[in-house]
Amino acid sequence: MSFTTWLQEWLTRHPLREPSEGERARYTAEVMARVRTFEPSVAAQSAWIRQWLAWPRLTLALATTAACVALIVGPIHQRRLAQRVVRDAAVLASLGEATAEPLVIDDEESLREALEELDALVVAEASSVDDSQWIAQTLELLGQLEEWPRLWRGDLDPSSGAEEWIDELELLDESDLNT
Amino acid sequence: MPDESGIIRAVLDGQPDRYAELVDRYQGRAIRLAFSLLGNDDDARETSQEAFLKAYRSLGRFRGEAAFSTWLFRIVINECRSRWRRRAREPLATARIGGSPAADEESEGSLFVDPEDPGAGPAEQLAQRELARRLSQEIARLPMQQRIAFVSHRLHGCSLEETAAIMRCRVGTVKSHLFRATERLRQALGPWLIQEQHA
Repeated sequence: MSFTTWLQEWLTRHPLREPSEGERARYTAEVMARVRTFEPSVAAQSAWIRQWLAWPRLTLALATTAACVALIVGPIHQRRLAQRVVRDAAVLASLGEATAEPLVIDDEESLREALEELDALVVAEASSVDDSQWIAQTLELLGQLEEWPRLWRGDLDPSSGAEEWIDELELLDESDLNT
Repeated sequence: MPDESGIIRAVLDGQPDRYAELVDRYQGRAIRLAFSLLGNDDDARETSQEAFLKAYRSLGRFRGEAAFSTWLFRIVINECRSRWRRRAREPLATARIGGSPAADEESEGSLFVDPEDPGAGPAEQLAQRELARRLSQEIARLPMQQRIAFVSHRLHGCSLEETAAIMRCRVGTVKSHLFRATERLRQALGPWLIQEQHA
């Protein structure tokens, strides 16, 4: 026989003790005597409170939800900004440009400032791309468009300097614009 | 027997005396539940009365989603918890943490169950009385959540679902508390179980 079965059997032979009938009447009388000390409408008041609280409850729930969303989204946004700073700093480092001072980012405002500073550096760095690289990219593009500069027509010496190439390409741009 | 929701409506509509019908209907179970949790007649009586008064004051907030008895028993349990915490803060000399004072343990005031067994002989009556006392003590020693689950389901016959509603937890949690409580009692009452089986 399992313990649970034994216990159930034992409890059927030994039921929980009951208050006697006399005690029941006295108990009810005691409770009701205390109930009568309340205002007659005290029970109904709680119903009114529940109705009145219905719309503030909704407002409170919406406000709490909004606050929770802000608490969750805020740090995520800040983390993304921080990741961007790190990435941009890495780009700069690969180009041989390092930030003058170590970045101190302790709030969103300083994070934005750091980002703007880095953006300016990256833009400045982008404009100083090597001319030969720019020429190669442009030639590739022209090749795709079947626009062949004088190099392929034999008008320009391959050993010409970068300046001549740039002039040639700018001329091409102008002729494109005119046509 | 008048409909429960009808009585509640009447009380809310300005007939507070109708509340006596609810008190009369549920006082037995409320007292027994409080007694099983507190292990003391006076405390059980006082705590269950407090619960009835709190239920009356909050009657307008009762939504009728569960039975009135479930709602009331939840209040009884909360009151018992409060009293239990207050006891725990009392000085050790007067504290009766988790059970009854030593003096009460010897009297029948601390027994949850009726120790009398009309069909038993004098020796067995004595053994049954001792077992009833020991069972009451061991139930009183259970951690609060285990005790609530055990008392509500095993002693008061509430279904698992009703016990879960009273405890405001999932049925699985109730089952877990029940399992642990039963294991503790089995270990504590093992010797008596063996005696019973041999008797």
